[in-house]
Amino acid sequence: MQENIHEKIEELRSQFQQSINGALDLEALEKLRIKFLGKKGEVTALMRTVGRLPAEERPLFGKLLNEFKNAAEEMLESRKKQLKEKDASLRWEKERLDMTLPGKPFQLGRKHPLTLISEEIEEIFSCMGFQIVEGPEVELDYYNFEALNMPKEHPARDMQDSFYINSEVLLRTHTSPMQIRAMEAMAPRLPVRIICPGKVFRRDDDMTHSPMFHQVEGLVVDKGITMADLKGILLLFTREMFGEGRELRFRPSFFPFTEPSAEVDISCIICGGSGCRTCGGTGWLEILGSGMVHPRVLEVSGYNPEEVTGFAFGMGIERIAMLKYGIEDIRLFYQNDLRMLQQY
Amino acid sequence: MKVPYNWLRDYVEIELLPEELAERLTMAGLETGAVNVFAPLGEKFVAGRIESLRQHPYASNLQLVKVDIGNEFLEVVCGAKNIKKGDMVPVALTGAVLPGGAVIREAEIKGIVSPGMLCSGEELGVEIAEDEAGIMLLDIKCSPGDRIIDLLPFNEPVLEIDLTPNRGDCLGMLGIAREVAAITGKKIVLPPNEVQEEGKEIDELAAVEIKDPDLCFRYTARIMEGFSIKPSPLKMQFRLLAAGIRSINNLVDVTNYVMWETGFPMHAFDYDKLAGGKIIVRRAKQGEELVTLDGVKRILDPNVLVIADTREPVGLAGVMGGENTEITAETNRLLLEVASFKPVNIRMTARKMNLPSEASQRYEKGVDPEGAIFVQNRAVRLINEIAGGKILRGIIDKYPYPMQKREITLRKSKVQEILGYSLPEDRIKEILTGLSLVVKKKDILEHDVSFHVEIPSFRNDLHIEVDLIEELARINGYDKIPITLPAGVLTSGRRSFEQRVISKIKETLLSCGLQEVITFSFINPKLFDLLQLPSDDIRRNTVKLQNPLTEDQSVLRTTLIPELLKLLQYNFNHQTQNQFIFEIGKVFFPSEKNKLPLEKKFLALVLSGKKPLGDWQNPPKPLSFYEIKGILETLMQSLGIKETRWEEASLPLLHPARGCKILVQGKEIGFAGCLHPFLQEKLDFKQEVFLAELMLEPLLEACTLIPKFRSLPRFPSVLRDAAFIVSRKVKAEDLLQTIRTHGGELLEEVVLFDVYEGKQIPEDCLSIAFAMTFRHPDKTLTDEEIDQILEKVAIALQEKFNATLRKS
Ligand SMILES: [Zn+2]
Repeated sequence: MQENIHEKIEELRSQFQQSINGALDLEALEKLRIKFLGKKGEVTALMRTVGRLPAEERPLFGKLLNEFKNAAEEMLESRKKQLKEKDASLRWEKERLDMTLPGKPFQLGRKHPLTLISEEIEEIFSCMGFQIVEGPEVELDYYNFEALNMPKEHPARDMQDSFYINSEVLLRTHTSPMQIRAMEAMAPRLPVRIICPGKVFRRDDDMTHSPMFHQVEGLVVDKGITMADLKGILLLFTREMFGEGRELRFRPSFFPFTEPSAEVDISCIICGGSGCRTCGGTGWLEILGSGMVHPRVLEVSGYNPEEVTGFAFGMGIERIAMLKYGIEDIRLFYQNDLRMLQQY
Repeated sequence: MKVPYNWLRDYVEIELLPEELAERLTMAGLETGAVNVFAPLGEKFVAGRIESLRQHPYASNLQLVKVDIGNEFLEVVCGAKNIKKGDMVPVALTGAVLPGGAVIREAEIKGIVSPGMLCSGEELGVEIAEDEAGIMLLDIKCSPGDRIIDLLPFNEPVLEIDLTPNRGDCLGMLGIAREVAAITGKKIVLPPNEVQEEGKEIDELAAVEIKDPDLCFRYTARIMEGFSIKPSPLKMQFRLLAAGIRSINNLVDVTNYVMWETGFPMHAFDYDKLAGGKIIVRRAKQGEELVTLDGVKRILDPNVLVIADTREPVGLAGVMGGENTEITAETNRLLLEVASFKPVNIRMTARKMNLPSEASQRYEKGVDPEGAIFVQNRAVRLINEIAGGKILRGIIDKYPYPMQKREITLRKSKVQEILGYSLPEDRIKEILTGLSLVVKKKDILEHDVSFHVEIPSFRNDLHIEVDLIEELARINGYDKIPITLPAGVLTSGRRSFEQRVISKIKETLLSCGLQEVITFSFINPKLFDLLQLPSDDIRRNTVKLQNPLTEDQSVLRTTLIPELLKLLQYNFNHQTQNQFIFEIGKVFFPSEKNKLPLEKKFLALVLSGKKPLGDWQNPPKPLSFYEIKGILETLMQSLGIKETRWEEASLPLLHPARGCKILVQGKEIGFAGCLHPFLQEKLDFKQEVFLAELMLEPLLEACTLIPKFRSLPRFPSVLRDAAFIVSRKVKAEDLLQTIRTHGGELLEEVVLFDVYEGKQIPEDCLSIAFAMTFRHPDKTLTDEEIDQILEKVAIALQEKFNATLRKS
């Protein structure tokens, strides 16, 4: 009887083997599974015959049949995996995309280049603890000139030909009036540490002058502020703004509201100091004016010049933008040609 | 100010090369460049002595001139008539290159070969005052064969100094020399000014009266007679030319020369034309007239200070002399004025008469009255040297209020306090003395030393202690100032709320694809007419500039829109069809209460074109109003602004049926819409334009940058769509409001997702579909509960708008 059992199972095995090799898709494979392992399949049918066997043969038969069942399931699984992969790779090919077609464009707007420069300057000073303040574009003569040591008829007023609204009111010619306004608002508290970016206006219109342009003013007032501190802050600023290797040169100059005054040059960002067209062969570029706040300016703003000192500086944003971006005509900033603006 | 290098060496010893000197002066605060003013002359120009002259055999207007050029004689052809035997003249040898570029060759002139050329000043590239453009006569000591470049300063380096307005004292070479002396530690040498007086006493001939001593601080006069007017010596002419001054004749040249030397302008009158022999310095009478040296008749008023004789004005003080007393070839006697006037007055007159001159420029900066006598003597001495004549005895000197000596106390501690480093006492003294300041006294204080420094009269820019500290700093060199960082407490540089909100607005708009622009704060008021703003529109009430450069920039803007439309036009004309732009900037309104106008920040958006761009899956479609509205809604969302309403309105600039007011929390803050079709046509825009303008202030008030956290829901939401058929007259916003109201607390969100017209919908109706999200915070909603709410909503819509639920 034993051979009989073995024979039967062996027959089943070879039958299964043949069928599985002949199953070419998942559907056929499923049919196969049902045929052999399903509820009404061959294995179940064989199992039913177990009762007819002698009692001592039953355990062996059961064991062998189980072994076959497990092996068959394993083979089915592996064959299924094989067929699935084959199937999928056919489908993938149908789904192939041209990866070189352009992507869906998202339009991103851009900031005006002057905003970019201004924000860069603001960020640098902001990180050094400078507060950013703003002031009126239309200013009283008092703040624009008088309080800055430029009384009526002062020749220094000629340096800045102004747009007047009336004899007392004008478009500010520089951001320096904010020195006074900021100090007035703060006095007698210390320290004052501000920068003031903004629009300024002068009666000039050519390649290098625009009737409206932008400046940033800086002011520090405290006990014990020195010109050495001015140098330190500006050096820190220019290295952040223009790169580590930059050198600064302080030249004596004149502004009615600072004493001593200094014009500040930076080693040319184009040629690095060896001399080129941009720097006129000198290796230096003038980028800002600065100085120690004049005692009278401190006084009119509510501080005692015997107790506190301060420094101030001012720079033109267009000038810096022109240097950084290599733009030669200042008027381009206000032409707002989108083809230009979208380069930044 | 042009300073010929070798001329400067008359007053101070200089060991530095011109470029080095320029650098040192620059670093001391006198921005200096070194240039060459004359065309460089090669070595083929030599001095020649004229040996003989004979007539050219074939040309009556030419001569053959035999010149000794040292090692040989040349016979050259020459057309000039001002030469005679024995004259020394410049000779261009063959191969010489004239400044104009022409090369001298051995050339045949009317049959005679000329191996060179005798040169005029013009041919050598210098504009000298010679007799009728003849040959330049070398009036300097020289021998035949000497190279011209060794004789005349053709290679003279000239320092070009850009002076700051406070340094009027450096408008004279002596001032510059003082700076050089201070920098290099040398001493300055004053030019000789001793004079030999002879003849009559000046008092017998002339008198001076200052009627307005507030405008004229000092007036000095001398009289000379018997001089001869002719061209100045070449050396003087070359110096003046190098300094940028044209040579006229020896008298005028001396006044200019001494002005350049001392910074002191002066004026010579023809004494015999002065009525009454008297100089009266006074304010002009109203309507008084004077023809100035330039031939222009000037009508005067009492703000103008004049120099007058007993009859009439003879000069505008400090600005220009009068024709009536001009020096001419016939002049026999001159009266030389050296005076000091009030700077402001001279400046006003020069401006009013539009007569800026080297003289007025110096008077405007203030001329040192103490120097007048020195200058007076220096000038007459020089006239006497080069024009001969007698200097009459005596000098008239009216100086009603002599200047007081000024003293400044300088504390050593303050030097450190300002500069951040300490200067030794010796060095302080050395620098001050080098600048011709006088350290009179030193006080030893407990922890300090102070110096009493007397300020020389020519330094009218030094008034207080820090002025002296600047002198110390700049002469010692700004590079000596150390580099430190401010000590003291920490400060926060955080941006203000407003700055942060504006940043956020910009970021949001940039993300929406808008480009930032910056336009001028002033505009052309005619744009309001072009844009057909009603005559009572508040935006027409502008702040006007008194002195605009052009009408295009003549009033301050009250709206950002006009310039943005202009910009749109510009870019359309430059083939940019798709423009999505915004600007944040100030607008200005006149203020009744304040002197200063109201300044308000506005935000404006202008859009035109198609979208999407460059998307091959979706073809571009023209923008609609809902594009700009969507951007504004996104903006409101990003600013955390909830209650925004869009109220239909017929507004200026906008399409009458496609415009709206924008309300935030019930307050009107701006407008949005389509540009009026007529304006679009007028501006020649080929496509629709959408615009919006908002005030920033209310946005700032309504904005929340960091919203409160809402805990995440614990129970699932249920989504239901419903479409309603309503009349076209019904506004979507009203439907939404009703749905929100009747949806109650459980309605979390309602989104309008479809508007449909067409089949199955009556013609005067639309089908509008909403997606509604329901959620209960504490449980899962059942279908029944939602159906109930939906029914309430449907009934409300039915009652209010006669809307019918569309069965799907
Ligand atoms: Zn360079």
